[in-house]
Amino acid sequence: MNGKAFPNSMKKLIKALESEGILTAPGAEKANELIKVCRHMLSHLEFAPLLFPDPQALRDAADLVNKMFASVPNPPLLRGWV
Amino acid sequence: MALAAAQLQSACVREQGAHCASSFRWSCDPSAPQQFGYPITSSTCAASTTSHGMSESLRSELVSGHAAEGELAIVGSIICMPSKVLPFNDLVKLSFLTSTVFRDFGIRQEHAVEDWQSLVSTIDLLPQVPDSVRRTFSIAKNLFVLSLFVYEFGTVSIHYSGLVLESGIQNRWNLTMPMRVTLQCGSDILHDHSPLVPRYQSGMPQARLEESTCERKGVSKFNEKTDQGPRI
Repeated sequence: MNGKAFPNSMKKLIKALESEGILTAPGAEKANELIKVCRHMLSHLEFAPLLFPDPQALRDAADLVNKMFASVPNPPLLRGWV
Repeated sequence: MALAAAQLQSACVREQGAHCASSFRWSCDPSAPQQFGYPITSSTCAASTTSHGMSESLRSELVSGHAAEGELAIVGSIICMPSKVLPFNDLVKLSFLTSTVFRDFGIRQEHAVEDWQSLVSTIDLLPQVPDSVRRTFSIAKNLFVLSLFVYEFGTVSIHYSGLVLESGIQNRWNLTMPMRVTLQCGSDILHDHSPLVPRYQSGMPQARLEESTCERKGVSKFNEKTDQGPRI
């Protein structure tokens, strides 16, 4: 896409955001870890796991999303935005 | 429901003997104490009743009396005891398992509902975060609060936190695209709007790549629906 390889996986998307300077290296590492633990490991189940109800995962996800969107103007003047 | 269970049990005794009755009571008696706070499930009862090999006539006799009243559920040829319909006060009872972790968060039992909510009340997203991410985040927060009543919702809340991040990453990557993009797959080139324009009600890059690949092969998902020829 636009002369670059299409990021067709979450790891490649995170790497693309890191190369754009949107995510820092520790941020990208944290995002990879959260996606692995919270998203993939809880999606592809061979048995139903039970995790401790901990707000930390929610806080980490919100922090990363906020850091990524901090540089976006508010409100974004884009079509398709609700 | 208790009446239906009792009749089902006595019918088992008539047909199969005392052994059947004891095993039936172990797995299906709704008045029995719940193990670890989990309600008795329909599937447990279903497995139990089929293993007793109840005759067809007895089954019809039981079903005719209770199915209409909603006391027995019939799934194919299997008779199931429906799940308990809990009154409001039992439904919103604090989960025993969740209350065991109150001390870790410094929560007092008497103010559990308020204190539990306050754990996530300060976590929020910036106003410029797209609505789809915000909605997923809101679900994750609500699930965490509801884990006060159903311990397992805590796990689902963590899963939804992962979905919030995934959605945020995809939406943020979309914002890095210019309004016009060039998609190239092999020798095929498609000049198109960026994923910011939700032409097919889908802004996700993965979906776009799939469409692009389909179009390269001359089999467009979009065109299949509208009976138009290939776009490229």
